[in-house]
Order: sequence, then structure tokens, then C-alpha cells
Amino acid sequence: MSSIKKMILTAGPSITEKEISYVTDAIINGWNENWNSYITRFEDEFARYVGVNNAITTSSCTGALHLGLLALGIGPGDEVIVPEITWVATASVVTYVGATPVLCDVEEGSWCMSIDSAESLITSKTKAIFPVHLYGHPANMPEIMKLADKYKLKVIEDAAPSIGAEIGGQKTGSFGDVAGFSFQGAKILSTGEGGMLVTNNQSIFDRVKSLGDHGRNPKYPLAAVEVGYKYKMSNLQAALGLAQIERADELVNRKREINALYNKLLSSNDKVKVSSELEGCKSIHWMTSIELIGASFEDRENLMKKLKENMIDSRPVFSPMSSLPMFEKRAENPVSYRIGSSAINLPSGHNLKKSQIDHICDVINHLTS
Amino acid sequence: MGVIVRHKINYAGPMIDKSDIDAVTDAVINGFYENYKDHVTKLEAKLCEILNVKYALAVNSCTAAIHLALASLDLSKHDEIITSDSSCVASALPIHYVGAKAVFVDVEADTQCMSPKSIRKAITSKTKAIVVVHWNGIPANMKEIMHIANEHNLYIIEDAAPSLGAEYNGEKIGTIGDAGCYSFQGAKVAIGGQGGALVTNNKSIYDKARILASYGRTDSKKMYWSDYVGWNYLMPNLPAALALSQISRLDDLVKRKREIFEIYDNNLKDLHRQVILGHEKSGSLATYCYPLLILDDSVNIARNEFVNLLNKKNIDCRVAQPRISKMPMFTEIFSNDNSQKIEDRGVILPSAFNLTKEDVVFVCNSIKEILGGKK
Repeated sequence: MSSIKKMILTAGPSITEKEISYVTDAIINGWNENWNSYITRFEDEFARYVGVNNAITTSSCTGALHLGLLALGIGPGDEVIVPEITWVATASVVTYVGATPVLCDVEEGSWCMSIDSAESLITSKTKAIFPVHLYGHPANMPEIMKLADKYKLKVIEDAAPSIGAEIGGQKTGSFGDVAGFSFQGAKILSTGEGGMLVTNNQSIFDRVKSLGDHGRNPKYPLAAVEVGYKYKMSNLQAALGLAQIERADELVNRKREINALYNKLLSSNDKVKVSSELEGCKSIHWMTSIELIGASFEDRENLMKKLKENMIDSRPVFSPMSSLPMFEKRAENPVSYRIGSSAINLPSGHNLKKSQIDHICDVINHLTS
Repeated sequence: MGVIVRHKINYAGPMIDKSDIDAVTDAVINGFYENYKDHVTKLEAKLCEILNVKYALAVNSCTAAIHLALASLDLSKHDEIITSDSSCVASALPIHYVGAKAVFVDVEADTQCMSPKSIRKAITSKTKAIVVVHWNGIPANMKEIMHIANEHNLYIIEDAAPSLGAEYNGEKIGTIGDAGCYSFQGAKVAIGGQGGALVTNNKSIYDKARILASYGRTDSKKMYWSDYVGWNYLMPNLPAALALSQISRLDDLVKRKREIFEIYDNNLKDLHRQVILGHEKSGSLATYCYPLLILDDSVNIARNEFVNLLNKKNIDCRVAQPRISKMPMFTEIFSNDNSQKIEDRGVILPSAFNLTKEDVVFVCNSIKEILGGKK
């Protein structure tokens, strides 16, 4: 254990010669008529990878999801079902368009939206359902699509941390009307900050192109025809993104290897439950996480502190959105409240070494015994 | 006349040198994990240094910077905010985002920036702020505008998108009002590809803007805790590294833009009855990011035809911005004749950094050739 002298960080990308050479080409040549050369290549390659017709780069996944809700026509007075356990962006974007996020519970195992809880919160005002593929595990999209069909709801997927995840062999982001992905610095593929909106719906795609460019009418380049936003990605970041998506299979495999190692080394510890995948699902295990069985919020804080003393950085699983002051609490959502105070993310960056995972698991086994 | 195939004369594009390439390469290799915001932090520090301001916040666009500046003021729904009718729509959209009412005023004929006289006409008891646009890199009449602001107790937010490096009576544009907003989008003077910055000496504006730019996150109760609804307006390292490298030689970049403008100005002088170039007032220093030319009404040619004829010569000039007040999401209160003239008769001339003197002279000669037959 004593051999670890530098803090083991939770997340970060894998940068190779490919990334460096694409970015170098973009900084030298990506100007004037070539200003968007990598942007279009990245969008095309990303759409092909996910298996959708259209992809458009944005400055963040939050930007993509905001544009997605606007293009779906969600607005004031509408309700959108959002899972409790997610990054604050998912619920925040619903308020950007003037709608109300209605927070439902998550299910055991995947920690993604519970279908029963979501259904119980549907009202006459519900216009859309907003599943999140939390930490890279796919939500139960076949059932969510059935629910949406039954109640005539739009589906927007927060696929931020799930590039490459699958359910029934189909990739996340390709089920709903529209989806957003993230390339923020901690994600499996990174452009520092950045996002991508994907959709199979041509009219949503056309609307988003205009809405994400200050609301400009494509026919008259300088004249805006509606309230729009500025959510653009630079060509430099897109060059990095293209190199990363071309390596997606390798990067997904690496994340899955890390998770398999954690599962193996913590398998005999009955005080922790390591994230795995439900049947029929392929999780990319963006962040391998553990639930500390029976732990209180304070127990979790203590463990994280002790991990840090052992040069291991970790992150708490998100607090339930309905505990934040900006959002309304409509249901008890017990699974979310339990996970939100007793689970943590373990280091899962691409730079993680086998010896570091050994150390982390040794420390966890020792601290929880 | 024989057809001469000439290389394209670019509208706007940056000057990239070895130090920019090295900076970006460093960011892609080293700008993650524990260094994930190193280049951003250095960019903010450098902005504070060259602008002599207390606080700088790097963001992902100038639109975001204006939005954050307005969101950090105590505005309410029926407040009115004055801005230029002749500008990029991005100057006005953030007024809509915060739920206030945008009131559009006219610009001066020489600077093409908002006219103090028009501002006075537009002030009501509900007016709370002015978004002052330093249009195309030319400083607005800040002395008069600050005077009006003091008289009526108004906030001044400077939209200095293309005006980083411009000066007004020795003061840096963007640092005169309560907050200044800059763009690092690829067609500006100093660029990052995309991106922007908010600068201010007001701690309360900075503190609020910084939290709102990162999802309202405060971590006040626990990690990942937000106390407000905010946005993701953070700039990543890659564009920040480039912007940092570029602003390190900002004076040279501004100088080059001014040289391009001077060639236009000298070569179009004898057409002064037919075309008017927007220009700085004495005491100001413009960046001249986008030279904007207005065809006099006496010239018997439609503006779009004029632009088409130049485009046919592979000259990438563009029609000037239409009035924002006439766009469907805003309200027209004043007729704003000078802004209307820019909409109807304005042309933005190419001013990319890769233009040679011969390129600019060629554009001027092409203009003369077109107007020669149209007296």
C-alpha cells in the first residue's frame, strides 16, 4: 500500500498520438474555409457510431439537452419526468424552458429511472420523460418507450455518460426522440467540455441547428427569427473528439476491464456492492461505483476521507434532485435517498493502473472489515 | 474584360503562429486530470493583467458572458434594458433570457455605435441597464454614456465581443462599465476557436457569475450541491490555451487589423461621397475587427447586387446586420434611421489576418470598378 505516493484521481481521458496529430492539424489548418472541417467529420462519425441519422456538436451536453427540449416543444406548464439521481443539469434544463421537473425514483441494480415510479407520477400535464443512463449503465429503454407510447409522451435521453452503452444490442441515445451526450473532461471520451445532440427526426435536427446558432434563419445568415442560444463547439475540440470516437471500442473495453477488476477484487466483501450490469444490458462503466451497505451519510463521508488519506480520490453519488432547494419533492423515492447518501464513485480514469486498483481494493477491504 | 481567377479573399480568420500551435499541443497533452483547468486559470489571470481588472471569468461564448453579467444584477421582469438596434442579435438575446425588455436605440453615423442622444430618448423609470455595443471593434462614446448612466443610476454592461484591445481615452474597452464581455470565437481579433470572457471590478457580479456559470453549484451543504439553477458556461482548456497564447500578443494583432483598415481607408478616400466607412472618434483606438462600409443613397446600385458582384470576384464580403428590433421576438419602438441604413446599405468588408496589402487594394479597386459605372 505504501508504494502509492500520488493521489489516484477519479476520472480522465486517454490521449494518444492520434489525438495530438488531429488537434495539431486543426490548429494549423482549421481556419477560414476549413473552420468546421473537424466538426462535420466528428458529427458524421458520431452519428454512425450511435446508429442515428443526425448528430450536432454543442458546447456541452446541457446545451444539447436544452435545445432538445425546445425542439420538442416543451414549455411553461408542462411536466417532465426526471430520475432523482442524476447530475443537476438534467433537472435544470427542464426549468430553462419553463417546465417543471417531476422527480421519480431509480431502480435497484442500474440506478436508472424506475418505470413503476415514473408511471405513478404521470399527470395530464406530463409531456416528456427524461431517462438518464447513469454512470454509463443504460436505462430500461424498451420499457420506457412502451410507457411513452401508452401516455403519448416525448422521450429525451440524457446519455451524457453513456457513449457506447447498449440495451438489447441497441446503443443508448438512439431510442428516444432526441438525446444528448457529454465530452466533459471526466467522460469516457473527452473534448474538455463539449456535447453532442443526436436525433433520427429531421425536423428536430433542423430546428436545433437554428436554435443553437442564436435562432438564425439558415436562409438569411445574420437575421435571427426566434430566441436562440449560442451552444457551439470549436473545431479544435472537434478534432480531439473525432480522434476519441475513432477509438471508442478500445476506450469502452478499457472501462469494462476496470469494472471487472473491481468486481473481482471486492467480490468477497459483503459490506460493499459493486456496480455491474443488468441482463441484456451493456454498461460502459464510466464510473465504477459501490454502495456501502447500510451506511449513513456520515459513514460515507468518513470512508471518503479515509480513502483520501490513502491517496484515493472518490466522489459521492449525486444527492437526490428533490433535496436541492430549486426543485419540488413529489414522491418519497426511497431507493434514490438511500443510494444518494451511501454510494460512491471509485477512480475509473483511463490512466488507472492495475497496481492502483489493487491498492484501492485492499484499502476498501481493510476499511470496511 | 478577361476572367482572372484569383485566390479567395477571406472574410475573417486568425493569425496562427508557432507559439499558438505549441500552446494547444501542450493543452491536449497535459490539460487533463489534475491540470484540467490550468490553461483556463492562466487565461483569466492574463486577462486581469493586461486589462488591469480585478476579476475575469473565462466562459464558452460572449453571449454567455453577457447572460451571466445580466443574471448577476438584481433585475426583475418589467425592467428595461437599452441596447443598439444595429448589432449581432447576441447583444440582445441575453436580455430576453433574463426576462427583461430590450429597448433598441439608434447608432451614430461615424462610429456605428449607440448614440447618446438616442439613449436619452429611450430612458424611462423602468430602465435599469445599458448593454453598450462596441460595434465591429469601434469604441462607443463612453464618456457620454457613463455620464447618462451616473445621472440615471444605470448598470453598464459592455458588449466588447470584437473589441478586446480597443481603447477609449486611454482606458481599455470592456473595463469602463460595471462588466465587460469579450468573444474568442474564430473570426475575432484574438481567438480561441470558440469562447468568451467576462471581466469586472465588482466582486458581487463576479461571485454570482462564477457560480451561475457552473450550474449554480456551491457545494455549500455537500459535494455536488447547487443552491440555484445555473448553466454550463465553462470554457475548456483547449480553446483557453489558444486564447491565452493569442492575447499574449494582442497589441500586434490589433495593429495588423488596423493596418488592413488603413489600406481600405486610404484607397476608398476618393469615393467619400459614395461610400462611408465606420471609424473611430479621435481619442479612441478601434480594433477594426470588421470594417463596415455604407453605400450612399446617391449610388445607384442595390446593396445585394454590390455584394454579389464582389463575391463573384472571390471576395468574401457580406451584407451587414439587419435591425434587431424588427426581428419577431423583439419590439420596435424607435425608427432608428442610421441602423436602418446599415441594414439596407451596409457591407462588411473582408479583413482576415491572411490578407496581403495587394488583396485589400484589389478589393478597393473592385469597389471602384463597380461604382465607376454607377455614378
